[in-house]
Amino acid sequence: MKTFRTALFGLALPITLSFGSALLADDTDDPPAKDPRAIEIIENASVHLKNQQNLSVNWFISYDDIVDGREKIAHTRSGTTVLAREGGLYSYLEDGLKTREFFFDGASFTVNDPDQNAYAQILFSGDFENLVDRIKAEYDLDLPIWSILSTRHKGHYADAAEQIAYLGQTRVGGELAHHLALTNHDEDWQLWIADDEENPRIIMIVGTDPYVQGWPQFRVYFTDWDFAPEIAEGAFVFTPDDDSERMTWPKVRSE
Amino acid sequence: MKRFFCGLLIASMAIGTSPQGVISLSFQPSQAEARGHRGGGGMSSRPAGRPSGAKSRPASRPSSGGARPSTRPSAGARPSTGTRPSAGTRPSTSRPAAKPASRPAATPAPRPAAKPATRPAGGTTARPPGSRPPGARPPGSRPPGSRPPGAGRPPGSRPPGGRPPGYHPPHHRPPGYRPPYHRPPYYRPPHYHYGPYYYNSGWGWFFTAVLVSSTLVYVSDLPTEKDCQKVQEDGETLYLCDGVLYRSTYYEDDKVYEIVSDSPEEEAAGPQTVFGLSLTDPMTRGDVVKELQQKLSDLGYDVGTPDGVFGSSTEAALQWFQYDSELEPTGIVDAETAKKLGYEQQLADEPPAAEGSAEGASQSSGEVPSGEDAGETATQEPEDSTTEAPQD
Repeated sequence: MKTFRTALFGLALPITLSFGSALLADDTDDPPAKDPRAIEIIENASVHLKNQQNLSVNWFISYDDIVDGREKIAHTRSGTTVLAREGGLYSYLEDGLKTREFFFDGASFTVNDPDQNAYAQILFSGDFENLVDRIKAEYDLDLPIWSILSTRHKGHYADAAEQIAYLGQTRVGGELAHHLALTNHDEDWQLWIADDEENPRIIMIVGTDPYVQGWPQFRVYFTDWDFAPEIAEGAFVFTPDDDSERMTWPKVRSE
Repeated sequence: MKRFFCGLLIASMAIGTSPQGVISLSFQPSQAEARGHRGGGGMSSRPAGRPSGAKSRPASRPSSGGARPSTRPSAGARPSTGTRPSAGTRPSTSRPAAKPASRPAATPAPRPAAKPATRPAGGTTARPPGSRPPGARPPGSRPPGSRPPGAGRPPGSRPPGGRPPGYHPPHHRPPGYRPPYHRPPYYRPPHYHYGPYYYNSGWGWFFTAVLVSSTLVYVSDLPTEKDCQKVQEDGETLYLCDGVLYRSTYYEDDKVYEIVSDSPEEEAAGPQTVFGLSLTDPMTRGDVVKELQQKLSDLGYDVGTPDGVFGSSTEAALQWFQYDSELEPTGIVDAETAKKLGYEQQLADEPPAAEGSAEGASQSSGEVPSGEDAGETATQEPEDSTTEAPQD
């Protein structure tokens, strides 16, 4: 017991000293709420992504579901996205047993269910940014990883954050990356951006909800970034076969 | 002085408890009495929980014998300690010759040193004269916990009479019991994704969702017990299942089936004829109303969108039509109004209708509110105007 007390004191003392030194440091030089270096890294990654006219990326998402306030269930979602900013999108999504395909060819937007060979289609002309807004407003549908791909929302994380910290460098999947932490009143994020000045890609995003019991998280992993993909002719056009079942797509009432 | 008080204390303890209590260092008078160690002097008061009737009678109890239950514990059940005072210690001097009229309260005051001549008043009920007949003890008269300690109920000593007729222990089910039949719909807990279920005898279980300008009534799957036919209409896919039409719909990232057909109840509830239509609560709806709205709209009256619901706009348009037609603006489609609206013209052009439809129309003509010839007009109602609403 005496040994345990000694060990506990040995643990508590350095922790106390470190907190004390941290508080002392806060009193002496107050760091800025948003680290300029972290902002610069985020801006570089956003601008780099915005300047890519064509891109393709694979992504994997895991997110938590808290059951009965204590049991944390993890769900996964994965897919691939091919985007041509001039007016073309193809995205494939797997969510549990559910599979979806999204086609946007600049004139129409289609949601296809390959398993049931059923699709819903609306006419829409515009760019990807307008498509994101309309689909969300009228049909309450979020396109996969839209917040990363949309140029209008390039500052989605940096602008929403109240504090941004640069946590240093680390390795993610064998790749050197900057580790950033962002927070505001509602949510916390962490970003890992490749430490590559020519190609600062987003490697991973982790979001935390601090107000739900169990602190559920979502984790997004990006792999196989390709900013010069080979896009086949008609890759963004959905062509139903004879047995395809067309579904009506009613507009839902916005919240 | 100190010695005096110590001696007084020891003396009072010795008086208030039995000698065995002193030996066993048990100085609680109530326990002593319960064991039969009734001391003398001022500590001889009756315990609070003592039954008021069981052992309170003195030894000079009338010898009728029937007043005391026959199942009284035998002497062997009594405490066998030899310190029980003899019967001679009981006061037997002041017992009255006749029983008092009233019984003492359930928890009487401490017994006086000398038994009073009569029982104290204050009993809730007057004691009947004479001795208690066998088994006549009222239920509940014995206070709880009044059974002599250590003496359980002897076998076979249950009071006569037993359980009342029809008594069963809790959760008793007779042999062959089955729960009573309840007609559907039964309660069904909400769907984890679509929310609460609703039931319709024609559709079965279905869901609803609020859309921008309407309500989506849908099911998550087509009825498996029905034979469904796939129908393509205007590029949309519909299914006809036993007379009910379902439309394939993409809702909340899932394929569901909107119920397009009206429910049998609603179809049957729709008006069969134009006569008598007016603003009601709930509003009348159906194809007949929609045709009336279309006629008014064609004549230049604003009915809003012809939606088949007889609302305030339709009533106002109908009243204006009646006013312009020099009729009384009642807002009710009577025979004259129908005639002005052109229904009679259709009747004149129509060849003699089938007997069945004419009979059906004449049945519905009973709702005509006014006009002597309304019944005749209704009998000549063409099939394609209003009387073709499906009947169940």
